[in-house]
Amino acid sequence: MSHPAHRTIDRTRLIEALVVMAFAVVLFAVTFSFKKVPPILAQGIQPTVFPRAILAIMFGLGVIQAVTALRPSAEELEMLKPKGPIPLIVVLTAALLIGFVALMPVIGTFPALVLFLPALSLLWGERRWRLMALSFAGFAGFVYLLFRLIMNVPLP
Amino acid sequence: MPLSKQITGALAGLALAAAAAPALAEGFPDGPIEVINNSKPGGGSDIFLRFATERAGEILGGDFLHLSKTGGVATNTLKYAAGKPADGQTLFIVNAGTALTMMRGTVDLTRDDIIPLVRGTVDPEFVVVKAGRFADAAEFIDYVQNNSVKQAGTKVGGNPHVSALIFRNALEMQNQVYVPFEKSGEIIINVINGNVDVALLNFDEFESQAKAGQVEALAILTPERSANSPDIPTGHEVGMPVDIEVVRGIGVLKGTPEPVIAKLEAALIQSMNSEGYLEYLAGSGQDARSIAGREVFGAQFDRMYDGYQAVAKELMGG
Amino acid sequence: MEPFLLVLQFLADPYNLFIIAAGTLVGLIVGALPGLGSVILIALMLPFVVRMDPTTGIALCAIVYCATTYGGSITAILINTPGTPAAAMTTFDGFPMAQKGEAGRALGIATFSSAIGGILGILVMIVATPLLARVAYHFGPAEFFALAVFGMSMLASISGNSMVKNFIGGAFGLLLATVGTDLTTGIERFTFGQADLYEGIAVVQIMIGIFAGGELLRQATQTKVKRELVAEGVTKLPSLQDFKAIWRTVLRATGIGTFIGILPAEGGKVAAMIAYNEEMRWSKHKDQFGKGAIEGLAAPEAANNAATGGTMVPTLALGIPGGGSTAIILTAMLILGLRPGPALFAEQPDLLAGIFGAMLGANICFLIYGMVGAKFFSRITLIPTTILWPCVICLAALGAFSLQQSMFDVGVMVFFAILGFFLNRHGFAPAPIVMGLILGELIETSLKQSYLIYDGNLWAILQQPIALVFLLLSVVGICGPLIAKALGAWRANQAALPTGNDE
Repeated sequence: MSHPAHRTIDRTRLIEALVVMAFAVVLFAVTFSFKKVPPILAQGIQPTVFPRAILAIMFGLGVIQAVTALRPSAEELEMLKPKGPIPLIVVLTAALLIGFVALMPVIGTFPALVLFLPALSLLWGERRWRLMALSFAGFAGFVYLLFRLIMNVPLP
Repeated sequence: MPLSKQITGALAGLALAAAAAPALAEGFPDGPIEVINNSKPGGGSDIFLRFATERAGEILGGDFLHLSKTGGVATNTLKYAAGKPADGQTLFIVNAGTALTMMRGTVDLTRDDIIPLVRGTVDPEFVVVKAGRFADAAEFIDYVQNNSVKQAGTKVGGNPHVSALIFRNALEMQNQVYVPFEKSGEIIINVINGNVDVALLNFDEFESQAKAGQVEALAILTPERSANSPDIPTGHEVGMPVDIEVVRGIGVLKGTPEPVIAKLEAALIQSMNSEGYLEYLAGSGQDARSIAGREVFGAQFDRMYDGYQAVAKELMGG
Repeated sequence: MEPFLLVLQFLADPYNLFIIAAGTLVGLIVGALPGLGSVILIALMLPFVVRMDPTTGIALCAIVYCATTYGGSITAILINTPGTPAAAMTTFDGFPMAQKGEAGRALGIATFSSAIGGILGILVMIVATPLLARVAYHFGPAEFFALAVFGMSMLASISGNSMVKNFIGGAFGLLLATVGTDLTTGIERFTFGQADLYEGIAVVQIMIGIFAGGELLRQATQTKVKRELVAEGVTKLPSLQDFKAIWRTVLRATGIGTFIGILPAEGGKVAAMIAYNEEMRWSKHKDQFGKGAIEGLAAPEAANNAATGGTMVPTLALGIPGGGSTAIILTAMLILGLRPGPALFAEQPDLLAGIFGAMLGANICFLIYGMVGAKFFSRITLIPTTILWPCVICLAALGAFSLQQSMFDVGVMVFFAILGFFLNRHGFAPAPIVMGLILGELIETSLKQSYLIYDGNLWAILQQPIALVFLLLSVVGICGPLIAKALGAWRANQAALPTGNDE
């Protein structure tokens, strides 16, 4: 956080710009896979026109971003902060979330809840067992009451 | 993994066999009956199904669960239904979209794989134009045969578009530009402010604007005049010889045991003859004649299927 | 004066008061739950409503419609998750306030703005429905296109972020809106063969993902940071000064909300967005927006609640619903044998008085619930994050699921949670993406409809007076901030003369 950047190129911004440009190019290529439109449906406008226009604008904005990244102003250099890698805890949180959603249809909503809630809580450093047990049981009951009994949603 | 899968498979097989053994309708329904529709919650089909099945739960002694499987006209609805056993526990919407989707081949189901069980609505389409724009139907027909016509409707490539094409062919229009809108409210506004020339609408969609003198219906596209609008001539009377209606019903998969089918059919018809459903029908100017069993509905569905095939080729780029 | 007397008569009946109190409570809860809103609630109620006395039945629909719109703000403020899409803009300043330990103040301001916006919107409706309804006739595709462009022009003036990044975010939002079947050609775009994408990605799922999911992952980085929130501070309600400060904002936003509500478009979502934009565009302290500016919270809440009154105008007076909820209310009216339209006002004054009265009652009722509840609800922010956020994300996942009972939707939510985290990390704020997403379909569809209507000549849009006005306003909107900036720089260069109230 404290060490100032002594670079003349804003590398982060350059990479961002390249990602945006690549994204635009790839999706532009995807538009060629859209089904051919029978004339009766197209009536003079192809479904590719609007997305391609947007993607072209996006690419252009990416170029602007890249150019300014190559010669950032002094003011901008001041604001540059090296970001550092994504903290492990974020990756683990995301992984838990994916796991929860993947488990839901397999073992059912409530078993998945019972596994996920304390797991995430533990990961985040919670150790007050009684508090966890009480609040998560309460929450599961609330979910059951609301979704299952009142709204009759067929939860997996 | 494979072992556990095998065991699950075997268990499922056993369960199926157990369920299939008393193939009579006594064991039916077994748990909640799912009703699949192809509109969003609150959409036309969803509301129709909620009203149609409202009493059926009590009659059959089981719950009805409504699921929306939107996407690809009725593709996702039919895909979901096709993945379920043919035991009557899964019902689905049967309308023009169902026919169109099967014709397109985006699902493995064909006309022979489903049984249109009961019909719930037959909502006739009216030819609606801005009030005073045309002196009479003859002038309108003359206009559309000699000019490019802007016709408003909903989804391109869906059933309203098919109806528009059938209408175009029947009137021998010179050229039809189909301007799609999201909702019928937008359609009527654009008829009134002159952005489009004509639209096919149901009675409840244009009635208030007709009363206010903003729009008028030149014809009703049915064989007979309607009780709620006796002054509007039929298309046959004024030179538009075509019938276009919004038909909605409920279907099951073929292979469902006959006793279950019979039980469902009777229950649904009973449910639809309740006060609540008849009021729902009256809301769009219909009455109990819209309700019909599988014999009538099956024949009608076949006719719809054939009629669509005539214009569907054009839509699919074939 | 007669309509007002009928309204009072309706409100004097204890049974009606009970319906208002109960309906508001249910609507408030459903509105607060992410993913569920008035459309699904009214659809679920429909079979029961049509068996009630017509006035009571329709009044009940109107009540829950008002209450869900307000309810969406509660979760938006407390857990950064808009309960309904119309509350998306409420998160921008509401959540930062809650983070600062001002949850009670934020809830109070949202409640107050919502109720005032809602009540004024209804009063306008009582006085001028037949007159206002005619505005709707003048809005065709050209006018909607111009309105949507006007909304997007805001991307130029969001401060604090890189303008280029805002435009990239906006473009990304527009692109997301193209996923699914194209309305004007029926062709699938960017569906990658997924049947679940045919109808596009539901806005709600994306919002739940970006807001709730993104916040979850951001919270994960903060688990070591101890937040010291004092209970008294958290539950403290807004002061008289706060109300004075937002009074004008609320009036402006109410005007915008009522107007946009009347147009047969998206209703509250677009209304809240434009009101927020305009408030920020002309604000003297733009840099506070997004960090907990009370005007930024008041504007969208006043606007989306005013829009509920607005959307009822064309529904009742023309039989043309202004949005999803009013479309179902219209269905209910037809089933009950009521024929909306100009004649309704002459023929059924009781019914109209009932609807207006019920909506008025609902707004007053949630004002009371909200002000009393704020002290209670605001305590949610005192729950340790290690307990609260696991529950929030589960609730979000279940909300995403229950709209269409689809696991795919839950997957979409998770995908956008992770994407939202990355985008935010790299300075792409959610606001431009949400704007593009909300307006994308409107822009593309109205443009294509105009193309068909004007025989391929898009310049014809400029010949429509209303459209022209909005397009000119957009130009002013884009250039205005730039000029203001230049002017500010010039002023700063002048000797710093002490200026008092520069009204």
